[in-house]
Order: sequence, then C-alpha cells, then structure tokens
Amino acid sequence: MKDNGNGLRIIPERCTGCRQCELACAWVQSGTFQPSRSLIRVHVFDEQAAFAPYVCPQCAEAWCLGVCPVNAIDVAADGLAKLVLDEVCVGCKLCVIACPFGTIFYDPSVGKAVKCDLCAGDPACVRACPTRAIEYGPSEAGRWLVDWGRKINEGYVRAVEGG
Amino acid sequence: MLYGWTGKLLRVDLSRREVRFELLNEEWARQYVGGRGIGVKYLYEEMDPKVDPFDPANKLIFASGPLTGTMASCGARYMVVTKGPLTGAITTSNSGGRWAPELKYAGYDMIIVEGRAERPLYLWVFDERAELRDAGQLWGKGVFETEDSIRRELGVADCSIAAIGPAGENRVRFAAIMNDKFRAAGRSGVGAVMGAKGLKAIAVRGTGAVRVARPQAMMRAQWAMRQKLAAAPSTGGMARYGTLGLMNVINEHGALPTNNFQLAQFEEAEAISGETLAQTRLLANKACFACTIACGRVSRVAEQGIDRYVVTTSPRNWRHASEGPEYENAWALGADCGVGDLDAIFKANVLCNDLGMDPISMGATLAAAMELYEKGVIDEAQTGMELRFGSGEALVSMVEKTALRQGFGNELAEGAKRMTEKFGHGELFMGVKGQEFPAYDPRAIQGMGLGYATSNRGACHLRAYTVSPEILGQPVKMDPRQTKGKAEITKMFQDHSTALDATGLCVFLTFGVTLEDIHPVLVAATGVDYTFEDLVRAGERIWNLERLWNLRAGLTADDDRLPRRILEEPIPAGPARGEVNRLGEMLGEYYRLRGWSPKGEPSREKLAELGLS
Amino acid sequence: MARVRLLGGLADVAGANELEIAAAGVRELITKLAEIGGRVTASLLYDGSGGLKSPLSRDLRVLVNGRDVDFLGGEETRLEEKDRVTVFVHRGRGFPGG
Repeated sequence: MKDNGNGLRIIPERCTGCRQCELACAWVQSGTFQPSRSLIRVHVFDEQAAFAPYVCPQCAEAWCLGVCPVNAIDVAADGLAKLVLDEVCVGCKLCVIACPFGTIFYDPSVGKAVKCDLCAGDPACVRACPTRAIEYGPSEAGRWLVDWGRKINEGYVRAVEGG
Repeated sequence: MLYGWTGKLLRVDLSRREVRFELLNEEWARQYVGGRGIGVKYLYEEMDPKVDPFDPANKLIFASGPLTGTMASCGARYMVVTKGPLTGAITTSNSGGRWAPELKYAGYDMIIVEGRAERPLYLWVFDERAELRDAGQLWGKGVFETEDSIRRELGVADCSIAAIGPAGENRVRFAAIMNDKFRAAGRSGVGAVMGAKGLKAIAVRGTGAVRVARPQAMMRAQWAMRQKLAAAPSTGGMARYGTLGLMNVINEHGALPTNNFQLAQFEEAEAISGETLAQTRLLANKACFACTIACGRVSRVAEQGIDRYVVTTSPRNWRHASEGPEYENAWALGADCGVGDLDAIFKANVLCNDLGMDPISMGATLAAAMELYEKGVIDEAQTGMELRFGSGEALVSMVEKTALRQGFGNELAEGAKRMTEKFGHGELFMGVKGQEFPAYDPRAIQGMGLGYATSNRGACHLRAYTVSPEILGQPVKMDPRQTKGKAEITKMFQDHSTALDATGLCVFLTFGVTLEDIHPVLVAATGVDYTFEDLVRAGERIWNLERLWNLRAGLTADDDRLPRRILEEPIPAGPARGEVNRLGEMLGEYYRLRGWSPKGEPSREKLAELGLS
Repeated sequence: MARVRLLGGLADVAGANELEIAAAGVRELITKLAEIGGRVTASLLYDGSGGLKSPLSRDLRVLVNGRDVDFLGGEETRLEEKDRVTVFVHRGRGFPGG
C-alpha cells in the first residue's frame, strides 16, 4: 500500500472557521447547500481560539478498508484516496464503526457508505477555502493530524497555564 | 416552488405554548426579498405599532434572507425585527454567526414569536420538529453557560443557539440577543423584548438543504463576487485589524467622540487601536458562516490585566480567548468613557456578551453618567462609586451592575435618554430617537449627522455609512465638512444598505463589492428576475414601510433631530475644531428627495410608486 | 520636519508608526516615504508598477493636521514646520458598508 501521493494538507493556523469547505463539499455530494452532507467538518474551539477542518486522513493502513466484508473500499490508483465502490457496498456500516476518526459516513438516502475521495484529484474544499488552510499536494497520509492536535493543544495549554 | 427561500416559517405562541408551521407569503417574499424586508412587512401587517414594547402583543421576528445559508460570501445573517424598548420605534437588529444558516437548513426562513410565557421557556427546532421546553434552570444564567447547558441537555453538539443573558431577563433597554456566544443582534433592546416574553433561547439544528433556482449560474455569480471581494485590499485590512483598524483613522480626523462627545479626539486612541490589539492580544481571526473576510477578532486579556478589574458576577478564567473587541465596542467602552486600557475594555466587552447587552449603548450611557458625575449633578452616594472618565474599574463594575439592575446600574439600564432626563439633564443624551450615537462625531462628518437623524431605528452607523465617501473616499471622495450632496448620498446608501440587509448577506461585503455585484447572485439563487433597479426599489420600499410604521407608532419629524451639543456646541479642539453639524442644510433636501412632505411623511405619489398605498 | 503618523499596514512595512521627515510639500514627503520601505511601500503609495513616477494611488489618504489633502492643495499641499501628517491606505471598492 502506498503511503505517499497527493493528499490534503490542513494548516489549522490559517482556518477562520467559515465553513466554505463544508459548503463546497456538500455541493459536490448533493448539488445543494447542505452542510450536513459535507464529508469535511470544521471544528471550533472558542475558548482556545482554535478552529480547523477535519476530514478523512486517508490512512496508509485504513481501518475502513480492512474491515469491509465485501471489499467495497479501494485505493485510488494515483494517490492516497480510499474510495467507496458504490456498486459493491452493501451498506453494512462496519466501516463507520471501525473508523477511529469518524470520517466515513452512512448515507441513508442511498444506503451506502460515503467518504472523502479527494474529488478525483481536484478537491472542492481546497478551492473553496479563502485562506488556503487546506492544500492539496504530495503528502504523507494523515500527517496534518499532528499539526491539528498541536494547534488545539497549544490553545488549551495557554488557557490553563498562561503565556 | 421557492428557491433561496425555504418557503416556511415558524409561529411561536408563548402564551399558549404552541408552535405552528406556516407557509411564507410568496408575494411578500418577492417584494420585500427577505431578512429586514420581510420581517418589517410581517410586523407592519400583523401588529399595532402603538403597543408597549414589553406588552405580549409586541412581536419578535427572526428573519433570514434568501442568500442566508448559501455559499455566497457572508451569507450568515438574520435580522431581529420588533418594537424597540430603547426607542419606541421599529427596530431591525442584525447578527451573523451560524444560527441563521442552521435555521434555513432546518427548513425555515423566519420565526415569529408572540405572546408571553407563563414560565421561562426555550425553543428547540430540529428540522421538522419544533418544541418549547422548560428554561427554569437557565433563567439568570449568562449567555455562555446557557449555550453550554442547552447543548448538553439536547445532546446535539452541532446545534446553534441564540439566547439572552440576565440583561434581557431584567429588561435592560439595550439588552441584546446573542447567538453562537459572541455574535449579537445588538441594538435597541431586542433582548429585553425576548426577556419580557419569557423566552430564554432558541436552539436550532438543520440537516436539510437550501436549494437554488439556477445552480450553475449561482456558483458562477457567487464566485465572481467572491473574487472581487478578495481582490479589494480593504478586505485584507479587515482581516488584519478588524473593524478596530478604524480607531486611529477616525481619531486622526478628529472625529472620535470622547468623554460623551465633549471632545473629538482621544489621547489614548493608539492604546486601544486595532494595531495595538494585533500586536498584543490578538489570537486569531474568526469568520461567520460562509464569510470570506473574517473581520472577527479572537483575543484575550494581556498577562498584566488578568487580575485587574475584579468581576463579581461569576468567576471566570480570563486566560480564555473571547471574541472582540470591535471598533464600535472599543469606542463606546473606551474613548467615550475616556478609558484607554484595552484590558478593561476587553473585560467589559466579554461581560456585555455574556450578560447579553449592547456595548455601544452601555458605554455611551455610562459616558453620559460620567459627565453628570463630573459636573456634580450626581454623586457617590447615588452611584456607589466614583464615576470618573477614564476609570476602568467603574467601567467593568457598572457593566455588571447594569445587567443585573443593581444599585446605580438600575438607572443605567434605562439608557442614556431616560437616565439623563431623570436627573434633569436630558441635553446630555447623545443620540437620536432614544438610541445612543455610535462612534463617529457628526460634527466632524456632516453626512453622518443626517444618517443618524433619519435612521428609522434611532442613531445608527449601519443605515447610511457615509464615512465611506467622507473619510475613506469610496466610491467617491466627499468633503466631510460640507453638507452639499449629503442628502442624496445618504438616501442612496440607505436604500442600498436596506436592500442588502434583505438578502441575508453582511453589510461588510460592501467594503469590497457593491449591490450591483450582489444582484446576479440573488437572481440566480431565487430565480426571480429582479432588475438591479427592482432591488434598489425594494430597499426604498422597505425604508418607507419602516417610516410608515414609525409614524403610526406616533413618531414625527421632531424625532429626526440631533442633540443641542451636536448642533450648537462646536468641537473644542483638534482637526475639526469649531465645527457643528448643520443638519438644517440637509434635512429638508433629504425629505424632498425621499418624496416626503416637510413633516417627513411619505407623499401619496411616493407610496403609489412603491406599491405601498 | 513634519511629524508623520503611519497607520495600519504602512507602519508594518516602514517599521515604525511615527517618523520625522523633512519635506516642503506632500509630494516630496510621499516620495521620501516610498524610499523608506522600498518597493513594498512604493506599491502601497503609487498606482501601477512603474516605480516612483506613477501617479499617487487613489487609495492613499494623506491628512495634514487631520484634514484630507484633497480638500487642501492635493499633492501640491505645502508643509510647514510642526505640521502633523497622517498617511494610510484604504483600498475599498464598494459602498455603503461599515
């Protein structure tokens, strides 16, 4: 399994919490403005002055892929994306249970799992972000999660200890 | 089928503890667009303007616009429309955050709240479900704790909440409705109306969609608008310094009201400026929903300020970040009270947010009290403490006391007009129609005087921001000392701003784009083929309907007046030394341009032209 | 020597929010100011990319003693000893927000 390729890089310092990424993702999913359908979600920690989008890190060793009983989750040929094959998925939700990040969802309207597929190489969230807090390019799977955690933690430490 | 609009509204009868669903009046939606427009139309049609603002018969309307919840930049806004307890006039208070988009996703354009609850209640809207729940435990709590408690109780992390604090419950006449903790429908006391109704909060969660009529055209139009907005470097300035970037600019012009408008420059302006905030206390910029500007400030108290200005209402961790202060807040709580310490201002501002009060009226009312105190009209026996200009202790303490109506706070809670009149010095009230001025001295910026005087909701900077041409030189440069041409531009700005307020977008968009850029977005979203002129005309229609409402409420041309200090007492020092506002040179022309009689009443022809007869 | 107050981004670029500059008039003062911050400042003060000969930016606000020079003598406004000059850049394109 490749652990290198084009993926999302999230730079939490740049996020303003505007949710344009959610709107753009939802537009791809549904053709309407419906953030509940977005696969990327902005988290806001007010008292820590921290906001950041959160999305499937495209794990190198993906729990969702491993647990699927019908092999409906595949690796994109050209990158990091783990894809749900709609014609194979039986909607059992095991992947949703297995994912430790909470970034694969079950869509009851079609009875299938749904997750970020990196928009086949042109992610809508990247284009929508007004502050370049989401970038697309060569990256290590899930590397941004480390920055994400650090940013939130810094705010917490500042609030508790000062400085 | 409506697009942009959801086509539904919620009608909440608190007296009967009932919530009903209703279809939106489509004809009104097209004529009045949404937000401020449709809210005003419903209030006009449904309510007797003469009722007391605290009477159960007063209605409280929350109205979003057709672009609220879309991807259009800054599509986050809703308008609270009601009779204002501060003014007795119609009021329209605007707020952002993410509450209004959530309401749209739940499936509603508006909520109309009627009656009065026997016991405190809060409304919970989750898609097609809407219920009134007991708020007994929440009564008396601050906005922040109320939000956290409701979210815990509902177990729905993604809900958004609009709430009042103790100030609203105690009918402080300038109490605000806060949503998402820090965003305020701030002015004219809309929070006090909610408090009088016994409604503590409205929590909303929506999982549905906002559908638009012409999806591809919509995406193209909103993207074009957004690109233009991003290319305007003032947008970059807003991101860097927020609205507080104006503090030094206005002070340098000698137009920064100081010590209750006794002066027009503040010696310590730099210490409370956007530049200083950015260097010393700013942690992040924050955007409202779908906003690509991010003027919001997230900041904190400086280390040396943490233990200063003791707060008694509830212990709180002052190392936590909080939003603000914005220019208006920092001016009212700062320069107008002579306070030059950002930490005192920050704490007072956080308290205003948490207790649910408008910091503009709060600061301005305290400033009037400070002048009364320094002139010896009131003394420490009455106030309980020294109320001198420049005292951060007095500022923070009086903010708390006002929200709780404790001691002298009970006088401040009535607003500057009633408070100064009570002590026999009504001339020290700096405002119009009972509402305190915002942060621009109309003696140094003539057009603002006309804008304040004719604003339908009392003195307001957001109804006709002529600071734009008079100080910032956009879209044309106009001399702030001259009155020529001000009537025309004031009318135009009023009509354009009103139309914008009706779309559900944010007025700050206009730092980068104009109503002409917004127009194609609205057409694509709604599928209604408004011409640009139709849209401006809608703004004029709404403005005139507000005026008619006010006339029916008993207001007259006599209420389009500025205080004696502004008309007769020249600015004593600084760049605008010697200036007074020459309202008389502008008001008559303004009435004529509006098609109003010299008594300020819309003519029959004008009403016919606007479809209002 | 005129006392020059720089607001907002201009102060960041110039590295100070107050300067003393000897200049007989506004045009000379702006020319000297543009040199202090190099290209970055010049780009804020002038329209186009043609260096210092381009016309003054329409986004530039210059106040002499709190009065916009547009209502004094424009670029030709003379400066006296002890005049207080304020310079800031506002590049909005819209109205009527605030």
